[in-house]
Amino acid sequence: MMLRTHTIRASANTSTAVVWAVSLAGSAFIILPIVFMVGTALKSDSAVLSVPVQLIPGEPKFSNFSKATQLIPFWRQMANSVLVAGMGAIGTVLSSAMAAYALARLRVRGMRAVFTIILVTILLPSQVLLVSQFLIFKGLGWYGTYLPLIVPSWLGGGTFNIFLLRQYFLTLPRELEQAAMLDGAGPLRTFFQVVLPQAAPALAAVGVLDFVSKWNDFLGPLIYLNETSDYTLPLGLAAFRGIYDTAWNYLMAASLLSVLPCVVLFLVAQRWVVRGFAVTTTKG
Amino acid sequence: MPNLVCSHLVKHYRDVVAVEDLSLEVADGEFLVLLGASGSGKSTALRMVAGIEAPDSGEIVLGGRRVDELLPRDRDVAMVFQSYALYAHMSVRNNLAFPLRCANVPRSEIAVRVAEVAEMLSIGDLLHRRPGQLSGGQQQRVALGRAIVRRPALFLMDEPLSNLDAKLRARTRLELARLHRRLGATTMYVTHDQVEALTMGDRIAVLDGGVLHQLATPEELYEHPADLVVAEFVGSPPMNLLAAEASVSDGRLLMVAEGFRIDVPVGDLHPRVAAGLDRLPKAVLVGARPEYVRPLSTEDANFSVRGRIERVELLGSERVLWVDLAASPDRPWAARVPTATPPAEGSAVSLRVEPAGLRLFASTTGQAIGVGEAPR
Repeated sequence: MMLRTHTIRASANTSTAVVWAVSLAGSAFIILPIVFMVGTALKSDSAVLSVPVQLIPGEPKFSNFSKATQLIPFWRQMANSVLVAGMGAIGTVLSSAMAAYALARLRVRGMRAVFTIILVTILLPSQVLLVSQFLIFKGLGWYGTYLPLIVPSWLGGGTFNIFLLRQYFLTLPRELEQAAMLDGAGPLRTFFQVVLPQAAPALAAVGVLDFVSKWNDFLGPLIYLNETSDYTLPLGLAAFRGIYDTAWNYLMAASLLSVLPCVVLFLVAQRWVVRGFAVTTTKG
Repeated sequence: MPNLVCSHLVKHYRDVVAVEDLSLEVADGEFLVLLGASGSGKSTALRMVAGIEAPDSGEIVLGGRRVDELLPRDRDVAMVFQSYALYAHMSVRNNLAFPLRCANVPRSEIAVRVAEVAEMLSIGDLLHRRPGQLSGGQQQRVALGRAIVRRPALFLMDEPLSNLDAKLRARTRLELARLHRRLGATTMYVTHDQVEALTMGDRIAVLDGGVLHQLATPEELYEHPADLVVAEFVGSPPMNLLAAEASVSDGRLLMVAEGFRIDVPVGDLHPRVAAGLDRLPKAVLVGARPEYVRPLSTEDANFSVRGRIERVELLGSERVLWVDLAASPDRPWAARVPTATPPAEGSAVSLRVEPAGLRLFASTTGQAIGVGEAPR
């Protein structure tokens, strides 16, 4: 009897230790580069490329952060990023929700075919469409504006988002919409006042992910923007990389600052994001 | 003048017949119950009246107006769902106000009507809460309130009590009946619970397999079921049935099966049964409700129904004897007896059936023999 309990406790201890070891290793893998970023951001110009490599410098220069925001029009570019990513995310959420709802609920012949066609476009890498899209936007006279970066989000918001939301809408009980129909609500009121609030977790997931992806987008701004004051942050940060050398310390400092809004947004919405990826079951 | 008239409603889903040629009328202010097992088509019928499902063919006329092609919101009907379907992100007050806002009712009037309904259903102190913070009974009252606040021409209820526990269900039945009397509203109520149907309905429509088997008052349904489906569904314990051969001669009805012989004067039968004896087939099912069946204390020449008592159940004021009969091996017959000194389990017993309580059904069609159709 004593031997059995001893063995059970021992194996519990062993598995706990294994879990801890794996978790620590995994965390280290992710955290170490960030620690290195922070360390680099605090180094003086000469300390940046010194050998042996120091993780954290002996004399941290906190002034690097404010200096970095003066070397490029940092705050202006952050505002631009907020505008582009924010307007884009809102458009994505609204238009993909509407497309997804139609695909989930409208019982019209051919709906499955439409959905399949939309789904197939997921296979197309965006690079394939690059040239044709550019020609379209140039023809519309949108070159040099934010319109090519924002407007597409308002026209469907991307296949993956439509797919995700469609699957979510399919899990919602139809009775709520039927109750709204009987209560006198038209399709729009039903959609905005009854269905969307139920889908809040999934919408938050789509919104946050889309915001972060647009925040980090380098290629789009690179192609369509040509005034430095119009640049978004990823493009602005590239200025730290010169032809001959790179101001690593200022680049790391500015990069850390540019990540903050996304971190804050994610922390705020993370409760909803986790729920959004799990399919809810209906309650009685 | 009937408030609701359904004519020849049909609904198919692929190969499945959900509702087949359903026609019924609901009078103004009447409480009509649609009773049936799962899959009988009762919910489908209700949803067609609501406008949530479109009938394949047929007509629905409400208040003199043809509505089967109208959207639900244009039909002036309100529905209480089995799952309540409350708007979880809105407060109780906003749940109640929602239909009035959709109808562009002025704000001041909304406030008055919401307060009135809240008082009627005793949910006044719950108005600020969300549905998720309410008990099942409270949610059910909010769902009711959302329907009542609209003052519709027709109330539809889809098994609203099925999610409540037994005690709450019994209490809510009374409250619903009281509400109905107070509001005088035409109501169509769907349930699979025959006790609910018998206690609440002015009339009951029994559905099975998408077909309407009988539409009558609770008393009529209980005493004179039109066919076997109704006889077996209504009543607890259900009607006793036994296959036998029947014949009439010299003014006497004779029914014979293994270990079973009943020989009674036609004059002792219920007049409506007697009236159908000229069309009596040979193969019948003999039916008798448990309250008409008694164990014999002395020999009776007219009755020879022998069996063995399988079980004795105590129901408080009386007992139910379950008797195994040779002629009905899979279905014991139930007899209600007063509590004092019942026979013991396992003992042999002879049964007597009150002749006025005898009911006959044709074996082939299941139809009741006699004047089974009551005025609808």
